[in-house]
Amino acid sequence: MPFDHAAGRCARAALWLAVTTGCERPDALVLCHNSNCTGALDFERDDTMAALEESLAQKYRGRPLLDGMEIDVFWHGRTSRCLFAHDIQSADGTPAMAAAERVGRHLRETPPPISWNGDRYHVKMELKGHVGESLDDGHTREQAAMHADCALDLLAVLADGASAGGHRLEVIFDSPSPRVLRELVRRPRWPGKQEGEPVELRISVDMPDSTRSSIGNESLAAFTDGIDPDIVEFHAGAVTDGAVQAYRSLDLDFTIWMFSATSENLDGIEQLRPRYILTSEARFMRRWLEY
Amino acid sequence: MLALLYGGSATGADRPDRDWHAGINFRTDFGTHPIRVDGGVRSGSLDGILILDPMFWTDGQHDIDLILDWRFSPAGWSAQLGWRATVIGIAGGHQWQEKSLLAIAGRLPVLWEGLIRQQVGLECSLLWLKHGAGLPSQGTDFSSGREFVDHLNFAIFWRMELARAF
Repeated sequence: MPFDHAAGRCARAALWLAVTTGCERPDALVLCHNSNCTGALDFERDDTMAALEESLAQKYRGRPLLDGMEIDVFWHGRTSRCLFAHDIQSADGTPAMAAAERVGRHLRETPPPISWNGDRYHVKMELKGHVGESLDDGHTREQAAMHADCALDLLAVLADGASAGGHRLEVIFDSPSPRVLRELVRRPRWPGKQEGEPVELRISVDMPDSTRSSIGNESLAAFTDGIDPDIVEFHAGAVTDGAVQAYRSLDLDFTIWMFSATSENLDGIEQLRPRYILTSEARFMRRWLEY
Repeated sequence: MLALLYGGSATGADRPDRDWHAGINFRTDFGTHPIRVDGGVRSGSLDGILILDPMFWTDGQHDIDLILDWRFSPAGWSAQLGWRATVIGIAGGHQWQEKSLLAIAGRLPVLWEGLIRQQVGLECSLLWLKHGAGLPSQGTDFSSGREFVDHLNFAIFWRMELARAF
């Protein structure tokens, strides 16, 4: 057999193996998990202004390291406050507006490129699905409306910053609570998704994990009634093949989040091809994607 | 399959005291490539196995396992203890992820008159350390679920191997 014929067969076999096993690295956007993605994992610094500051400043090869930032927006039910926090246990009283104003200032003061992708900056607001100590402490309708109003206030600050800086912006409203997302799109101030505009809005369904909490057990169907989601967020290790097929049938983009960038999570990214990767190890992830 | 494992009559009862073996290691979970190659030497109830990853060229990730398999039951059950070094290519270097492995495995019936042996198992891996490529080293901390839940993973594997006595 001529050598080039044999080499061609080997190349075809290799290509088949690579395609069928999904081993290529995707072209995905890197978002900063919990506004804290500066290096080694340190969850104590999640949702703090200091970590947000350092995360925004990161560069790689002379460009911004990140494609965008996640801001956790927690509604403190007992005091009716909108906080920059992961949950009630870790809340230090910082208003969510403080985080939005800091990102808005970053958008206003940073010359292009504003993100690694060079097109848009992405801000993902995670509107937490509980308002008390437990994940089962869901919103009342009134609380959901106030939480949604807070998110729209943050949007206004971010949009002003992007406009002043001459940047295009995508804001993702993400929540594990269908009630919060439904209230958001029903607010009189909801501007619509503004597709193709300088500030685009997207809705993300957060399927957080398989815990036996009320938000962990929300079905996808609960998010399709009056919400029109664009994205579904999940953990690669906590999703079933059936769920992935359901998400694909709705033509949803994927966000894969993780606590730690392990080889298991990286393989999940290779095989499930998310549009967004939400990670606390942004520099590692950027270098992994650029390999 | 459990019946086959429990019965064990065709899992190599007449096996010699020592052999070398080489074969293929399959798995479907995230974490390593789905097909790797392994080889090793068995003496009595102890089997040393080295698993290499020829699919590293597809994405720059290479998982190398070193495993000690202790067969504790004539029916073919064994316990495995091992170490996995995962080498992940990233721009400008390689990150290493060091994991310990613990598994329970059972023999399936031999094929082709004993030429081919099979083993299936359930494996638990725990990532202890990430290091290299100029990035901060990261250990595993058990102070909260957030710190280690991604570092603990389970997988099912299936090995087919050619064995020869020596």
